Amino acid sequence: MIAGCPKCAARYRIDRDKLVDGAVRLRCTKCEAVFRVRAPEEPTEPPQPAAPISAPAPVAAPPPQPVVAEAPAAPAPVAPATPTATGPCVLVATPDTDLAKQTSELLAASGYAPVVVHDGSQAMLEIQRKLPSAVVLAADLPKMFGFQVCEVVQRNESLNHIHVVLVGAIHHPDRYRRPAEEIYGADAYLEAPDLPGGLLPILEQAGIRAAGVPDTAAAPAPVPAPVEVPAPPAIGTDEFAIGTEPPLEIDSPPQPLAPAPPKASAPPRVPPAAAEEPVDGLGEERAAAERLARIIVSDIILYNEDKFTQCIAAGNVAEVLGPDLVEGRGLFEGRIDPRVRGDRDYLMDELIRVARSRGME
Amino acid sequence: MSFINYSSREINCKIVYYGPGLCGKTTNLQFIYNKTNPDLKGKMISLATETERTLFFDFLPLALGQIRGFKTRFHLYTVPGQVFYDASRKLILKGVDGVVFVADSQIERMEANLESMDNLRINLREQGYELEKIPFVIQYNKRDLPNAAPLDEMRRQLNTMGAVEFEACAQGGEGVFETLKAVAKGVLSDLKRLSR
Repeated sequence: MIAGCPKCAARYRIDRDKLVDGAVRLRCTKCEAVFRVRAPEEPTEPPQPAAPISAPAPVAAPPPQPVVAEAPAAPAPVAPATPTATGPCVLVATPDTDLAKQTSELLAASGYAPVVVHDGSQAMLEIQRKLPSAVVLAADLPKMFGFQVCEVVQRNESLNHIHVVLVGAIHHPDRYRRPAEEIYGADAYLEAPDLPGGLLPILEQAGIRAAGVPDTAAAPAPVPAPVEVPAPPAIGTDEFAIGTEPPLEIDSPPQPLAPAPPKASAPPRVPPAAAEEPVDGLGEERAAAERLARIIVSDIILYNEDKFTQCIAAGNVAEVLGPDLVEGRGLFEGRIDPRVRGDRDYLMDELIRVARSRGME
Repeated sequence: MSFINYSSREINCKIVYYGPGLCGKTTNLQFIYNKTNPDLKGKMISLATETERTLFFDFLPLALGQIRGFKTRFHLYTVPGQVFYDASRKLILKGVDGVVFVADSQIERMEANLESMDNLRINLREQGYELEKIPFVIQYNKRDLPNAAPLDEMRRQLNTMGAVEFEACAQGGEGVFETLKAVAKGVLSDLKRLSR
C-alpha cells in the first residue's frame, strides 16, 4: 500500500501488516509532519479483476441534487456527489445558505453536479476528495477565507487545474492597481449579486460543460495529469493531515478526472466515508490552533522580514527563527486546547510552510 | 475615564490606537505629531525596539481647544500590536476614553485584524467596558496597497457594530486627522453627556 505525506507529498510504501485497526500513524522523514494513514475499505464483494468496476448504478438520472457536505463533527454521511453520474462536479463554498441553495439548484438544473459547503476548511477537504472541475469560493468563508483556499489550490500542483471562481461582496476594479484576479490568483472573479446567473457563462468559457451539452472541442479541457497524490494544503485544519487519505487511492485503478466524464463504467473515486473523518470532535479546536499559529508566525515574519528572507536563502528558517517562536509558544499553549496541542508542532509547521511557499527548498 | 483637574482647569482624555502588528498605529501618531502646531503638542514618547517597532507604547499629548473654560488635553497612546504582547495592551487600555482600531488592509493580515479586534473586545470587557458603548472609530489603513482587501469585505468582517470608519494611508496622512477628529468628537460628546 502506498501513502503520501499530506504536507510535502513524499510517498511511502507501507506494509499492511503494520496497520493497527486498519490505520497507522507516520512521521514524514522529509518534512517531519505526523499524519495518519488508513487502509482503504475492503470491498464487501470479492474484488473484480482488473477492469472497470461498474459504477454505482446509474440510477435513472434525474438532475443531480445538490449535496451539502456536513461539517466534520456531524456524523451524517456526506452524500457522494461524484462527478461520474452526471455533469462535472462544481463545489460551491459560501456561508450564505440561500445563495448556496440558489446556485446549486441552478447548477443542478443546468447539468452540473454541485456540492455545497459553508466554510473554508470543509471546502478544502471536499476539493481534495472530489477534485471538482470548478470551485466557487466566497471570499469571506469562515475558518479559512476564500482567498486563502484559492491560494492553496493554485499553489498545489495536483489541484491547480481546478477552475477557481472567487466571489467578493462587491468588487471595485477601479480601486486596484492590478486586476482582482491577479491579486487573488483566482481564474475568475464574480460579485455576489451576480452569483447564480453569472456563473454559467464563466464555466462555459472555461470549457467546463454540463452533462448533455456537446463539447465542441475535440479534446477535453486541460486536465491534470495523473491522479497524483493530491498534496493537501499546508494551511487548513488538521483534517487534512489526519484522517484523510487521498494517497490510498493510488491502489485503486487510475481514475478519470472530471471534467472528462465518464462513462457509467468508470470506477468512482473512493469517497472517504464520513467515519474516516476525525471522530474526536476536536475539529474546531484544531482549526483554532492552526489559525493562532498562522497569526503568530505572520507576526514573527513581519517583524523579522530581513532575517526571514536570509533564512529562506540559507534554508535554515527553523534554526534561526525557532527561538523567536518562544514567546508565541507561551501564548499558544495558554490558549489552545491541550487535547490538540500535542498533535504536532503547529508553530514550526506553519513557519516552515510559509518559508516553503516563499521558495525555501 | 477622563481625568478632570479643576485647579488647572484641564480635562485629560485617553485615546488608544489599537490594531495588529505593523498596521500603522505609530505612523498615525507620528503624522499627527509632525503636523500639529508645536504649541499644542507635548513631547512624543516612543518605547520602541531598535528597529523602531513599538515595544510598549507611544504617547503623544495634544491640546484640542476648550470646553466650558476647561482645556481639553488628549493623550494618544498606541499599543504593541504583536499578538503575544497582550499584558502590555491590557495595561495601556486602563482608563481609556476612546479607541481607534487601525486595521491593516492587506489581505494577508485579515486574520491578524480579526484576532486583534477580538482581543480588544476581550481586554475592554475585562475592565468593564463594552466596545459598543465607548467612542470607537475604525480606520482601514494602507488602502493604497495593491493587495488591499475590498473595503466591503473588511467592513463586513470588522465593523459589525456599525462604528464610524475611515479609509486611510497613514504614511501620506490621508484619513489620519479625520480619524482623530471623529474619535475626539465621540469622547467630548460622552464627556458633555456625563457632565450634564
